[in-house]
Amino acid sequence: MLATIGHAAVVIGLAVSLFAAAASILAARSGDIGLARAGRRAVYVACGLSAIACGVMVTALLGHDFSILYVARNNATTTPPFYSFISLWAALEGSILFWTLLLTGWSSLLLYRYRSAHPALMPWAAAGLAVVAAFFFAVMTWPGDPFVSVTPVAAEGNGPNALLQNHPFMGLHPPLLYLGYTGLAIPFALTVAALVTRRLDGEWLTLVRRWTLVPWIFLTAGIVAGAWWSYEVLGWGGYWAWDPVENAALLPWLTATAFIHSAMVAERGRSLRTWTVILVTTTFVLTLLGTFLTRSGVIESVHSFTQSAIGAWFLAGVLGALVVGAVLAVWRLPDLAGTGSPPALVSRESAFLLNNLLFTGLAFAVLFGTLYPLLAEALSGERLSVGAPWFNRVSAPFFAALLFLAGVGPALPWGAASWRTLRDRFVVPALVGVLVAVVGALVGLQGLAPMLTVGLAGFSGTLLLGEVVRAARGRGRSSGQGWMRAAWGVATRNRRRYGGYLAHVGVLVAAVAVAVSASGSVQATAVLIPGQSASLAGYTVTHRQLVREPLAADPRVFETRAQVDVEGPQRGTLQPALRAYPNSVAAIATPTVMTSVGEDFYLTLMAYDPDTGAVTLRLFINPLVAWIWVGGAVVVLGAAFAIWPGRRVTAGAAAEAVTRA
Amino acid sequence: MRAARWLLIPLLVIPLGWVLFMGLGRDPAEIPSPLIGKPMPAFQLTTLDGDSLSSTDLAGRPAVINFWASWCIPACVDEHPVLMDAAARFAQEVQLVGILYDDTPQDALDFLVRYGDGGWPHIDDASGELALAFGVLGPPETFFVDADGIVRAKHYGPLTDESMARNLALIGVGP
Amino acid sequence: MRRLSRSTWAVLAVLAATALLGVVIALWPSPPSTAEERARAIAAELRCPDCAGLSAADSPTQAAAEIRRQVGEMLAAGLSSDQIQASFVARYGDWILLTPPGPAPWLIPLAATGFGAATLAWWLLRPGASVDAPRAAASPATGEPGLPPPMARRLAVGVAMALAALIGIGFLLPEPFSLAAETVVNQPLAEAQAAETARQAEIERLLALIAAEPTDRALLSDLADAYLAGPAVEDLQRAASVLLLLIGLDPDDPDPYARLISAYIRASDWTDAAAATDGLAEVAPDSPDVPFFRGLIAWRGYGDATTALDAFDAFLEIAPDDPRVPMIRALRQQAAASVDEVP
Repeated sequence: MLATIGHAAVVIGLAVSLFAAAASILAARSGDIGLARAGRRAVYVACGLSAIACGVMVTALLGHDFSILYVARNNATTTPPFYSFISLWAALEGSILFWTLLLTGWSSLLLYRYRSAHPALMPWAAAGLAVVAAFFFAVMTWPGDPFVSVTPVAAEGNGPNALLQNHPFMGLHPPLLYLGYTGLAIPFALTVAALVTRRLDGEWLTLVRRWTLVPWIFLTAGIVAGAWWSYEVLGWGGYWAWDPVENAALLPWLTATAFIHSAMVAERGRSLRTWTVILVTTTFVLTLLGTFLTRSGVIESVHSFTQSAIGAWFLAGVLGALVVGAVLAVWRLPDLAGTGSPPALVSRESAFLLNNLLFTGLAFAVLFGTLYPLLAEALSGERLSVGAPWFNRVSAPFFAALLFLAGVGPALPWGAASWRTLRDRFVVPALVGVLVAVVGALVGLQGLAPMLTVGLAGFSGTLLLGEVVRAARGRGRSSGQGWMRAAWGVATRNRRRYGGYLAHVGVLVAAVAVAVSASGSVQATAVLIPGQSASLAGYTVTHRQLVREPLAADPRVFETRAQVDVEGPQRGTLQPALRAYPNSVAAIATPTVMTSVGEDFYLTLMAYDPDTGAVTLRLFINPLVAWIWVGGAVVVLGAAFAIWPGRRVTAGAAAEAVTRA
Repeated sequence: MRAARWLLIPLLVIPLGWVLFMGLGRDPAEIPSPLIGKPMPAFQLTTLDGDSLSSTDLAGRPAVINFWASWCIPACVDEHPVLMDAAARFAQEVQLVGILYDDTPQDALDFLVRYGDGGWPHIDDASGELALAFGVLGPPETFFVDADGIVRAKHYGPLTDESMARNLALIGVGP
Repeated sequence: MRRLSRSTWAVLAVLAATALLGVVIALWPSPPSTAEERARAIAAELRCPDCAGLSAADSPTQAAAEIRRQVGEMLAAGLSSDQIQASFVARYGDWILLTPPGPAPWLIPLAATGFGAATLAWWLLRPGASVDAPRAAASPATGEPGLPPPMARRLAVGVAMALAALIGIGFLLPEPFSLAAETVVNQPLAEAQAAETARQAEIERLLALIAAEPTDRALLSDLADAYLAGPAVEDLQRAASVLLLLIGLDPDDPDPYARLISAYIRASDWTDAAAATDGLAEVAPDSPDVPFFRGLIAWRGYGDATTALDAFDAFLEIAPDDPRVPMIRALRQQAAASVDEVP
């Protein structure tokens, strides 16, 4: 019964989306307002239908309705309600359903907000979004039906994938990420609209910039949350493995970040619009590519969903989006041409050009590395791996250069920079950077990469600080305020700029934390019988006993945990565990972390001997890891500050907040 | 010259499409083995029955080396009847050897009790050294060795009657 | 013009300091790697066979642990990291390497970025552009004239080269982020394991030598000691066999007797211990070991307090300065107490 409703909602959603696309295209060509309205409303209806379908699925999951195959595969009677709920996006078909809901949600938001504005662009945007929605509804109707029934109905289900029910972050990371991915369809649709109608001016650019920044915030938060979740759950002590699925999230983030920056130049004049179109299209194609990579099983990764026919469909979708974007861009290339004169060599404009080069170069490198195994096998039949060592080495120069630019960009003036400007603004920060690197070396940082990172962060941080100080001093002089109030005043009057500065500061903090933690981590493996101790870098762990019992929250799960006393800079009792889930052959490690400002003490249980109570523990001391999450939060905070409505706004819906940037 | 810019589109789309399309058919876990055509790694270990079994004991007859585990469900369960059938039919012509992958003898014996013991010896590769020597990715994985001790084929994943027959033919065993 | 020179010098000084710092850092000798660090570094370049994408250094699976163990062994045997990698490639193919072989994976992104950088440079440094008014015109932000194009060019190129040098050095070094790995194992356990391994090796060595010289008493004596140091009862039994051999070779030497009796006592072979003590009594009747062992066997083995007391007293009389006296006194007290209890 439920399955029928769900499936019907999906099929009707497909029909409605196709109608919306047709109506919107007709409305766009003929200017008929009624048709445009019909198209918009059809999108709202599609959103409602996908909400119904999601509601059906959630109801089935919470009610453990095993007549639906998806529920039988990903849920069990003992699954706690929270994990039942988030199973909506835990596996393939459900994640596509959730994706469709978010996509149609974003689309409805956009169309509702501009129901009386931008009459030339909106119908085409609606058509574009409706086509994308129709694609996803079609995937759910045919190869990836979430509501397939199964008979006979089993009494007990498989339960969620063990790795995905270990940590509540599973409720946070995918929704944030999907909000980012789906939201990035909007700038693409707007760009398609602008290319078709040849309205490639400020109207389009302002819209696209605003409607990229909000999904970008979600994407950033989703990536950071994913790294944090990976660190807390997977037990290998790291947070980024350059896994193909992680890369799939990073790639659109890189091009979207490049776009956000180059849009600032494009808004000021006629330059960089070709870049804008290319970056927006590439971002959207990369979101679809990422979906393809994770759902087709083409590249194995920790995230891989099982292989299915969906892969071929998503490949078609990726290529389709690429073709549409490329054809439109090439067709309208003459309209996109800029002023023709290059900017001054030492100016903010060239800094942005360099910024574009670095981000796209890095995105190309990461994409190349991710697809290289496929390429090599297609060419030579040879199986290869491209892993973290390659990615680390290739991406490090780009990140270092971007760190440099993060301070230099804001400090360079528009137009051309004079000697005095350069001397006033850059010499002191350069000296501070060198000083900070030397201090870092003295304090014990080993290796070129951390010292370079720290030095560049010091340089860029001082530059940013100098910008703020200069502006605050100027305002304070003219308004007579104290410097703090002056600084706040300047910031709230230039939210975009100062939000950007804050986001850059967040990036610097995260970069330093990553460099120091990557190079300064120490780890050890210890085999201990109860009562024995081992020490590492000032910490001493003593294994007390091995406890084996079912989990209180979910009695199907059998947990073996070691009770370990920790002494040292942080003290307490940790209980790293291995959990045996009925649907997973390998035991899932549940590491434990003690976090302090300076370092994390991280402990995993790798193996145990039930007869003697002996355990094999892995100890990690990871410096500054907490600052990675802090840095990510600051980035999100800065971006949110940048788009936050100023005093002029009235209390309003999310759409209002998005548009008043 | 203006029309030339349209070339960008196929230039962009075709290579990407081709690479991704080629990737669709592949099983990311099917790695070709460099051992093919080379002698089987030498070993000498104890079977679950307590006897000693070495690679030299297998010389002179084709052998099927099957890496399995009691926890590898459902793949090892699915291929077990195929192995039993082959053991029964070609008992004289081929020597079947089972090697435990990251498993305990007790669990392995329970598995055999439950799913049937075909009578071929099983070795406990406790340290995992033999799995590494053969280049095993994970159970089930089966190597087909001819009478001269040269590895002729590797099959990753559960065996089917068809793949068993095909690979047995490669080592000279068949109807 | 002079002001300009001072500024130029200041900027150039900063660039030079940065470059110098970079060179110093790059050439700074890194601390010598321990064997564990080198093993980890090699394992970090190998892919774990049965997990998705993690390196053998990071993965908790058995296959990864076995790879780490084999890497450690091969390093100890003196193989270079290239040879170790090659041995794994021989079994798994190039797939096992986390860094793809060959120059193509490095060159292609480098070439693409280089192409982009060259295009950017061409765009910004075009010769025709220097006559454009906007280039040297006032910046709307600062109201000051921009840099003269030749100066700007030199500055930009200088900064770009300094940056590229710094970054290139980092890129060319073996690994920008090298993990320090201090593998601390449970020390007593490690020491015990190491000692046991050494002991086994010593036993092998002695057995080989004895095979050549079956009657060499020094070798046999060392072998007996090696067995006596072992933890298991079998070791004690083997020690006893060897000591009996020694006694057979030279029946009048009291030394092997003492060790033999100790071995029997540790193995709780009281009957054999008593017989051996009798043998010792024949060979060396005045040795303090005789009453010592007799007392021990009587008290510990049979609970015979009376015989034990006599033996202990005899020992204390013969050898008042023997280091074992305190132990015997304590045992004597125990024995005496139990005698008093018996009515």
